This record gives sequence, C-alpha cells and structure tokens, in this order.
Amino acid sequence: MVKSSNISRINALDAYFPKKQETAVSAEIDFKLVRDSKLNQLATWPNKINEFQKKIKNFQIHNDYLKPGIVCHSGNTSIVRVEPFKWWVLDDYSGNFKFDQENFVMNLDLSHSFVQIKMSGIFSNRILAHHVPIDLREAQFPVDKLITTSMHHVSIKLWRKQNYWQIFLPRSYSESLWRLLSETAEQYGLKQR
Amino acid sequence: MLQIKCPFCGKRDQTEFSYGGDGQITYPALDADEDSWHDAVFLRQNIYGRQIETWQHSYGCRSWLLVERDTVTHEIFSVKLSHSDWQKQVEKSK
Amino acid sequence: MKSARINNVLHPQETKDDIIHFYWNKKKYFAKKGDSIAAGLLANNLNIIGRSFKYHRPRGVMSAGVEEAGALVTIGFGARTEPNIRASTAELTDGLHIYSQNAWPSVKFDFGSILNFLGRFFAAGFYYKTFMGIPPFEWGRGTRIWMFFERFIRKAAGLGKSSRLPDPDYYEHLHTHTDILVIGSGPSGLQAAISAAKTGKDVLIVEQDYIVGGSYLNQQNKKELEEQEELLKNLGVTILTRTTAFGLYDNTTVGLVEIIPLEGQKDLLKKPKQRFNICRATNVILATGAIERVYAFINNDLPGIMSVNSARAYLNRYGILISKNIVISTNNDSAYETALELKNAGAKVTILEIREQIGDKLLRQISGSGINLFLGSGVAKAEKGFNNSSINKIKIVEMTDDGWRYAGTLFCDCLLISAGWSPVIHLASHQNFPINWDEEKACFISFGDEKSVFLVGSAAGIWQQKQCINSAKELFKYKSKQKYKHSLIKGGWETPIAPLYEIRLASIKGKAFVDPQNDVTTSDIRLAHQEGFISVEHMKRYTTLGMATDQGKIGNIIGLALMADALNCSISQVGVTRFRPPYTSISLGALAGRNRQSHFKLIRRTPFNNFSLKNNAVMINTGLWQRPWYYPEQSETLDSSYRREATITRKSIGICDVSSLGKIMIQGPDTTEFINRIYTNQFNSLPVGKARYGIMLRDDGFVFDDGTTWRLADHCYLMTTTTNNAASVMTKLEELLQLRWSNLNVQITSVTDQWGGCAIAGPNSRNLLSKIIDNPVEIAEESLPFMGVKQISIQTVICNIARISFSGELSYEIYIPSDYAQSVMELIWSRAQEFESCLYGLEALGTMRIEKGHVTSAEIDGRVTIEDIGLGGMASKKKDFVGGILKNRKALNHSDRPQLVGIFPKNKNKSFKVGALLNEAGLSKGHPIGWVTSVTFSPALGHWIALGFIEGGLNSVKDKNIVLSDKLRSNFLDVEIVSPHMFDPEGTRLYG
Ligand SMILES: [Zn+2]
Repeated sequence: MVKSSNISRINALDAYFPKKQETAVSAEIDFKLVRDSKLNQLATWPNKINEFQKKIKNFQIHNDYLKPGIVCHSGNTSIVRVEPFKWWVLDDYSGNFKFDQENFVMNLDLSHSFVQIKMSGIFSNRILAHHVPIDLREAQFPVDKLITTSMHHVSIKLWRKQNYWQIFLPRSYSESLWRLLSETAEQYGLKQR
Repeated sequence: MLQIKCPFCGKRDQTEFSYGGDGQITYPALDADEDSWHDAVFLRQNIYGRQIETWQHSYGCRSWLLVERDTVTHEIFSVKLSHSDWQKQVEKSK
Repeated sequence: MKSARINNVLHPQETKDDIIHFYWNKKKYFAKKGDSIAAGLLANNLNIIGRSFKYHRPRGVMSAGVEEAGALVTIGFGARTEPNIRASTAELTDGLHIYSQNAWPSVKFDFGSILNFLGRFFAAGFYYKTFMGIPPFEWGRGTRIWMFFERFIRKAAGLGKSSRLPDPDYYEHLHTHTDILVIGSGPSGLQAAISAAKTGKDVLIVEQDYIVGGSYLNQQNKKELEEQEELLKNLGVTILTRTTAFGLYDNTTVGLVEIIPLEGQKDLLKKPKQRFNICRATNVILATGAIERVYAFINNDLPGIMSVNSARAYLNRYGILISKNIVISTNNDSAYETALELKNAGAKVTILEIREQIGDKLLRQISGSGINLFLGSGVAKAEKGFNNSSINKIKIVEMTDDGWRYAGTLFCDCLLISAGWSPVIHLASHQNFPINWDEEKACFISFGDEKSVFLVGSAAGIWQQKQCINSAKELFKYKSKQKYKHSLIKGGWETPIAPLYEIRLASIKGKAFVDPQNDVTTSDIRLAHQEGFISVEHMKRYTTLGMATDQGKIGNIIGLALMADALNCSISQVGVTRFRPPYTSISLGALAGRNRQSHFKLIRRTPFNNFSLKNNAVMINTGLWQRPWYYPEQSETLDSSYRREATITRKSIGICDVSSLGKIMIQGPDTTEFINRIYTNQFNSLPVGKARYGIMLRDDGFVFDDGTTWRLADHCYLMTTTTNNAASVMTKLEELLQLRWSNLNVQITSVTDQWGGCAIAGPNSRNLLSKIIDNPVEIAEESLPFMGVKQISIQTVICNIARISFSGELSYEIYIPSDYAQSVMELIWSRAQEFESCLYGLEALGTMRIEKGHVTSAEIDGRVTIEDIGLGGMASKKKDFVGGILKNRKALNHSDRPQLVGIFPKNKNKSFKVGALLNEAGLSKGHPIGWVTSVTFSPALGHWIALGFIEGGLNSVKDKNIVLSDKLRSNFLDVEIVSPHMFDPEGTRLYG
C-alpha cells in the first residue's frame, strides 16, 4: 500500500473482502490482485495523429502500438490502443508518457477506475469462457492482445500475458464480478477461504 | 445471434453491441427549421430488406457503427465506423 | 405385453456392482447400470407408465428416443422434483425416485379417464369454442359456466407438476468456439468428426444420449463403433455426451444444453447441474439421424404398441425382449433385420407388410427363419385385454382393388410399427433453410444452407448405414479448397417405401391418434379442415398438433398427410410447419445460468461502501448502485433518522456519499464549443475554476438530464449527470461526436469509478474542511466562491473540490481518487466529531432537495419541458443547442401544461404519499389536473411537503381550492399550492 501520512490507498477488493480474495494457490486455478497500479489514458484525433506518432517515436516502441489491442512494451511500461483514438499507458512510473499542455493529446489518469486481477492455472481459459463471448483459443487470442468485452453486461478488459490473464474490472462492479468469477471457479478446485 | 465485425475490434457477439437506430438520417443543423427537425426525429421507414442502421459497440471500443443489414435474413453486408476519418485511419493501421 | 431381461446378452464381465435399484411410485425395483428409465421399467415388466393429457388414456413406452410421447415421468422429490422427463432417454441412476404423472389416484385406475367417454366435448378447438358456447345450442355461453369449466379443465389437463420450491442446484453458461461442430454421434456423425479432424480443424461432437454411438448402440455388433471411437480419441476430438443441440441460430450459433451427471463429488465442488453452452462454429454438421414414424389406426396409443426400432434398442442395447408374441406392421425394408433379431431372441414374430411385394434379398433373409409374413396387409384397430390396459389383439385388414377390407383378428401382446422414417431436420428448419418433400422416400429433406450448415447420413434421408458413412466422408473430400460439398448419395431401400399414414375402415369406430402426447386424433384434423383451418400453421394451433413437449416428432407427418388428403393435394403442397427451438425441452434454470438471486442484477458499490456500513448505514438499491439510505442511531426508524440527519445538516454539518452520480471527462480543443451545444444555457463564458448547472434536452425538445459541469482547465471539463442517466448521457454524447459533429476534436471518457464523491454540507462545512485540507486558505470565500472549482490536497492526496449545493446550504463536493476515498473519508469523519455533525443518506438528501424545489428523475421523467420545471430562463436565446428547435413546438408551449409546484397540506398535521392526484374541490371525478411526484416531511418547515405538477402552474390555481386524493389509501385532503422553492427561496444559506 502506498502510504501518505495516515492516508492509504485501498484496492476495492481489499476493502470488500479484507484478506480474503487471495485464494489457496493450486495448479488448477489461482487469482492474484494487482495493487497500486498506474494507468494513464492518452486521447487524440485523426488530424493530430501525426504529431502524436512523432512524440511516441521517442520511446522506441514497436509500431504495433497503432494496431487495435496489441500491447507494446517500453521497459516496464506498456501501451495499447484501446479505442480508435485512445491509448492506455500502463505502469508508467517514470511519467515519461505524460504530455502536459499539448494540444494534440489529452492525458487522463484512470489508475483508480479499475481493479486488476491476474488469473492463472490450467482452468483459467475455461473460467473465462463461462463469462465472456470471446474466442479464447491462442491462435485467435495470442499473448499481449488486449480486448474489451462484456461480462454480465459490464465492460471489462482482458489481456493475455505469457502465463496468465490480466483482467480489468470497473471498480464499482469489481466485488460483484469477483463473486461471479470465484463461484464459477469453485468447480475447478478454487476454495473460498 | 448476430455477430458484427467491428472495424476496430473484429468479429464480436451481438451482446456486446447496442442498437441505435436508422443510419440513413442526416440530422439538420441546430438552427435548421422545425420541419426538417421534425422529419429527422420522427419520420422512419419500416424497411423490409436491406437497411443501414447505427449500432454502438458499447461493451467494446465504444465506437458508433454504420451496419448494413437485411431485416429479413439478418445478413450483414458491411460494417463501418460512423466517423469517416476514424474509419480511414483504423483501416490504415490494421 | 410381458417384457423381460434376457440373459444371453449380458456381458461376461458384469458383476453385482452393475445392479442398481430405483423406486417406481415408491416401490423398490432393480435394474442394470446403463439402463434408461424406460429400460428399467420394461425390465420389470412395468408397461403402463402414465395417463394421457386430455383423455387420461393409459400410456406405455412408445419409443427408445426423444420422440417419446407416452412414457413421461416425474423424477426426484422435494425441491429437486423434475416433471415431464422422457423415460426413454433419461439415464436411470442408482436410487432414483420415479413417479407417474397426470393420474389420480393411480395409473391403473384413473378417475379422469371418464373424459375418454366425453371426447366429443374435447375435440379440436375446445377452448375457443367454449367461449362461444358448445353447439348445437351454444350451451354454456357466458362467463360463469366458462369459469366453472375452466377450473375443471385445468385440473384435468396437464402433465407433471414442478415443485414450486426454489431450485437448490447450480446452473451456468459457457461459450465455446470451434471450427466444426458435429451434432449426433451415430455412424454418420462419428465419421464426419473423424474426416473433419483429419483436415486439421478443431472439432466438437455433441450427443444427446449419455453414451456415444447413436444407432450403433441398437445393433448387435458393436465392433465398428469401438473402432471409430478409438480413432476419434487419437485425433483429439472433444466429445460431449448428455448434450442436446436445441437450437440453431444466426451465424451458425448453436444452443447446447449439457446435463452434468449427479453422481460423484458434485456437492464437494459445487458442480452445476446443467450447462447452457453457446457454441459458435464455423461449420455445423447435422448428423441428427431420423425418427421412425407410426401410422394412424384405431387405438394406436395402447400400451404395448411401439416403433420397431425401439424394440431393437431394448433388445440389443439393454438386453430386454419386449414380448414373446410380437406383430410387426411395416411399409418399408428397415423392419426386417429387427424382426430376425427378435425371432432369434426367442419371440414369435409375425410381419404385416403393407407392400404387395418385397425384394428378393429381404425374402431370402427371412425365409426359413420361422417369421410369418403377410403381404398387402395392415392394422385397422388394436384392442386391449379384459383384465389389463395393454394390447391383446388386433384387427387386420388387407388391400383389395376397392381399398382396405377386414381380414380377421390376431392375438398378440406387442405391436411394433414402422411406417417410414423422418429425418431430423429440426435445426435446419430453425434457420428457415429450404425443406422439400421427397416423394420417393416419403419424407422431408433439407440440405442446410450448403455454405456453413450441412446434413449427413439419415438426417439427409440416406437409409443404409454404409452409405450414411460415405455421405459424411464425401463432405470433406474437397479439403484443399476448404469448401465442403453435399454428397449426392441416395441410399434408399431395395424396394421403395409404400407411403402410409392412416388405415381407416368405415365399419370400425374409435380414436386414432396423430399426436398421442397432446391427444390429437385423426378426426380432430378432419374437423380443422372442415372448419376452415387448412393452412398447416392454422391447423397446428387449432388442434394443438405438435405443440406438446415432444413437438410432434412422431405425429406431424400424419397430420400433414391427412390434411393433404382432405384437400386432395400432395404433402409438398400442404408444406410443413416451421420447427422452433428448443428441439427437446430444456430447463429455465439452464437458460438463467448464474444470473439469479444476487447475480440477477449486479451490484455497484461506491468507494465509501465499507465506511458507510461501518457507520451503521441502511443501504438501498438505486439502479444497480448500493447507496446509504439512512444512518439510524440506536432504535431510530427511517422516519426519525432522516429527520435528524436533515436537521443537523441544516444546523451544522452533514456528510453524504454522492459517488454514484455519473462523471464524464470531456477533453480536447473543441470542448467548450461541444458543451455549449449540448446544454441549453451558455457555457462558453464559463471560466476555468468554475462550475455551472446545466440542463440538456433530447432532440425532441424534452428535458433529458441535468447536472453541474466543472471547467478544470482550458480544454478539460468534468460533467456530472444524474445517477439514473449516466450511461445514456455518455452514449448520447458519443453519438453526437461520432455521427453528427465529427469535425469537433473532443474525447470523452467515463470517470465515474475514478473518483469517490462526498458532499459536505451545512453552515460549519467550511470550518470542518479547514481542519482537513493541507492549505486551508484555498477554500476561503474569496478563493473558492459559490460555484468555484479547484484542486486541493488532503494529506498530499490531490482531490477536486467544488462549492456546489444540492441541499441549499453552504456546501462542498469533494472528489477523491477512489482507492484513497475510504481513508480520506475516515479522516474527515474523525475531524467532524469536533462539530455537531452527521452522515446523511439518500432519504435526507431527498428531503433537503424537495425543500429547495430541486428536481430529480422523479420530476424529469421524460415528459417534461424545461418550462414545465420552471427553468425556462435557462434556455438561451443567443445560441443553438440540442433540442432547441423542437422545444418550441406549439403544443409544448401551451400555458396550461402541467408545471412544477410545491404542495403544502392545509392541515399541517396531515401526511400523504407520492402518486396522489390533484383536483379542484368538487371536481374530483375524471381526469386530474395535477399529481404529486415527491413527498417528504420537512424538518425545516415542520410539516409534510411535496413537489408535483399542476396544469397551468402556480398562477392558474391561485384562487382555487385544490384537493389531493389518494384513492388507493382513501386519503383526501385540502392542499395549498405554493412555489416549489419552499425553503430559503432567496438562497442566502448558500453563503453560510
Ligand atoms: Zn469495437
């Protein structure tokens, strides 16, 4: 937790399930919470995209960042196009990707808007398949693809990483969606503490 | 169950989208006369066959789309981002 | 009929463990593992299973498949009761409780069977006619008699009863994606899956039965099945048994329901009972087989009459010989192999063949077997024995040049029928693919859409097993082009079928059933024709043919043929009714999945959720949000609590969670222009660091939403919306930017979840905040005036603060980054203890806004104009805005439109409720002139007050006596109509 005097940053799931959401680890299924994450949104427009690209060039990022939903990396920071003219910058602790006072791109801090869960284990694809209408086969959904879809009529994001899924749940829905996911996972060996 | 091929996200299930309305309406300027506003807001065809309609990829990339669909067979012939500059740029980047 | 297990087909490796027990109407019986319920019952010679729907006739097992129309049972008990289970397909599990249905007091003696003799009154269209009276004298016309009848009919008609208890089991959904989905695991399905998998595609094969094999299972030699299964396993094909493809939808989406066996560790791991699997496949192969038909003759529903193929299934799959004295009536080649097998198993077998001659091959097969064969003959009537309800003898007819002629009586206790086969084309019909009547094969045939959906094997009207398998191979022959093609294999019989749908002799009377489950008879079809319901879709609805749980899988074709006969045309001219999903009945639980109880609607929680609960909040659902309703102290009720909260807030300090308000960040160089077009009032003059209240209209000129918008920076505004409309405002703004004003450089993003919002209201609010924020000078009157906006820091956490007020007091709204919100709130609340202070909920918030005459969704209900709510002055005349033109329509500007007013009771001790109507005294009948939208007790004024609408508004009712009437609660009182600004109309309290 980030401590600033007596104010602490509390993840929504930590608040709703104190010390409960970290479940017994098993090879079948495992959930982990991502705490204190940083998420900045960059937004631009069709007639400003050239200036935007020029600026991004400085970070020596693979040009795939222009493709929808392909996560590209620069050190620990990741950038991905989430909407036609919006990019998400994840874990930019250096603040490099912040473009203050520029008229071709707008910054927006969304660090507190989502609860991020890492889900791994041999049943993780199956658990997701119970809730999202997405083709999760690796040929269709390779590593470092990030998509937006609906889970129980809530917009969520899925990011396939090397050995796990990173799931972005809107903060206000996170408790409800978490219960749904973990109840589904019980048949695959997840034990609720 | 329709599947709509969002130009940004790819082929997705109908449950991710919400239906908008008639995609062939051109809304008049804000200061246009009452008759043209009346027609744009209230007059609708009830097409049997192909029509252009608007959908929003509400649980996906939030884009508004122009979908050409057959109201009888549900066949979808084309899907475009309604914002023409967005459509051009997204096509280019793929 | 005397059915029993025969020993010679028992597997040598079978042990005692394979013996299971079950209860039939509470009596214990034994069966074998792998039996269906029907097999278990037949092995114990239980052959009267239930009573029919309308006439309460005794019914037995009619089939060994999904077409079963007779043997419907209820299984389980208590909350796990499942009615209308097909005994022919349901797996018999150890210890299962099975009950008969629709019979009182028992299946053997059923009181309702008296209806059998009243059949005249229960003919087709009975329900419709009863409304009009029963001919010839329209007897019973009028509601009272109808009501009497209805009670009686409802009790008599019907199937099993569900438990009415909450379902204790789990259900869930699953999304499956595959290249090729094969439906059916018979010879053609298995081959299709093998051939498809060899092309390197992902293949899923589903089977409704609890074991793989389809018609292989009904054969004596199972070697080929074992080989094919082995091949599939090696190819890595996924097989789902107990999985029914119940519907085919657009884009080759298939609805599957998977039943998960009860046994094992279910309770331990909370396994669901059923899974609704939505399968999206690139190609769908329907290897769904064909269903053997019967034909209509008198009493063709007697227990002991079933299809030929089912006798074969009971013999070869379950080791049960259905009877020792069997008559087979057929019109095609398929029945002969079964006849031989039955004969070899020790039964006496007689074949009545409709055709005058059969092929040499068939003749050779049966000659010398001891089977009696009568050519050119059939059955006109079946009769039951004296002391039991099942078949005892049949009346035989033979074909002459003048038609059928009575030829004598034959004793038998089992009659097997094969009147041809109907390919299972239901799924193709769901998608309205072309379906054509094949005269030669006497069945409907579909080829799917031949792009993504294909039919193979007997589902495509191919009868010989070898050719069925070939048809599946052919489909994948063109793998290089990745385009599949239907095979042209015909695969008929040696001698063509002789179409047969009914045998009728004028001299023999009785009921001949077309649809035994819904008790539709041949005379019902003729009646429908006679009364003009000649379209098959009309006939279906008038007679209810095919509308039972089996959807007429056996009887539909007979009905169509009889109608064709009555109309003197061919079946292809009559056509076929379109099948609708589901193919077999599915439980609602599976469709609901996990979306029930607390998951039915998801819950949204604010960042202050835990803080509120810790402080004794009673929560309330508003839309999906959980919001604090009131914070009772000790024994306080809602009433006393909200009055205290409102009082303390106006006196000193109240703190409220307002996080659920919609928050939209609007950014970009053209944002000012954009916002100026959306709101009715001027926004281009709003400086950075200021907020403004705005109203937005719909295109049609009615009020859409309201809220404050804060200018945080030159190109950056934070818009707040009402909790209710947050999503629709967002959608509307996106639509405007992407469809209409695409030249504006503006981006909008929902930030509702990014910030926790709290209102700190009351005369002492500034004093409290001064103790909390890092630099108190920032909120002094001069640096943060009314409607001022600013970034401040609280213990270095950067928050947005705005001096805005919904309560009418000196008030601030602070937006704290959500993860910090709980911690900051705890700090604020701990410092608030130095003042007289309280937390207030939605109820007190409502009270204070009603006192001030502020509107919410109770007033902005989509039917009001900006003038109606008294805010006409906010509609700018200097600029254009959304809805600005249509709001000027004449009808929306009549002076007598209902307008927002305040309402006081004349007797200040009286109370009233929302929804009450307003009338002029003495004119309380007819259309009211107004209504009440929001009511509260006002602690500030000391009596009940309300907001509402009244025609013409305050001025038009000045000198009139207005009466409030709540007829539901018999509450009538005189009221005074006042300005909606009921408390502090000058707004002096906003400045502390
Ligand atoms: Zn999209």
